[in-house]
Amino acid sequence: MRVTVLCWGHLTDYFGSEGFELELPEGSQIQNVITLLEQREPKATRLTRSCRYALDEEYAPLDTPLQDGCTVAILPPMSGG
Amino acid sequence: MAHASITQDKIDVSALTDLVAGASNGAVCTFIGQVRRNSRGREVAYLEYQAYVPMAQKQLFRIAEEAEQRWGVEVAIQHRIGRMELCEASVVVVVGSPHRAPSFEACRYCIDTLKERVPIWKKEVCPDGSFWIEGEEAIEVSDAPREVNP
Repeated sequence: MRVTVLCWGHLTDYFGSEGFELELPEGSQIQNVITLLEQREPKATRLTRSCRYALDEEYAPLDTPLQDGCTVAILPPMSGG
Repeated sequence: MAHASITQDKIDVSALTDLVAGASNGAVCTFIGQVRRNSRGREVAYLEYQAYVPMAQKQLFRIAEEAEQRWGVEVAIQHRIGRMELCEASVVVVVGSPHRAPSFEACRYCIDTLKERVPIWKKEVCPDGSFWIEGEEAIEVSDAPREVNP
């Protein structure tokens, strides 16, 4: 399946701010996206430290199953206000 | 009916106030968050805010609705994104209610909760570099990001 990945904050310095697509096996979870990104950019050590995640614009835990065409967002600690 | 939006434009506090300042309300409490010159011992030239806009919009609206239901008030929130200069408002929360106490409490709830769960990020652009602000941390913007002591 194909999923769209969006990164924010300092993660855009590693992965860009436009989003990108990943090909993942059926049954994948958000955790599998994170593992792939860690392999792609080993210096991005904060992917699991203090980040939260969203599936299709709603907060979701790492073990959330993914569907073809979904969007996963990786959300570092926020600083709105 | 709660009002919540993300905008690229300068926030119009008066227009936002009109949304919640009907004649049934004897109190209007306004919080304005604006760009500050100093941060973590650095001088700030300007700020850049980015947002995951569709999700931020939903979360902002939910916060405004929660406050309306809990305190029986009327809420309007607007957060600006993009580049902002010193003293420009990045966020405005306006709460109207018949009496003052709930308006203060609901206003405080909205801005505090916004900071926790609305996906918006701030980049401080300083004369000596740019920094992502993520919670309590400042991370220097570069090709090889490194940690900076807050």
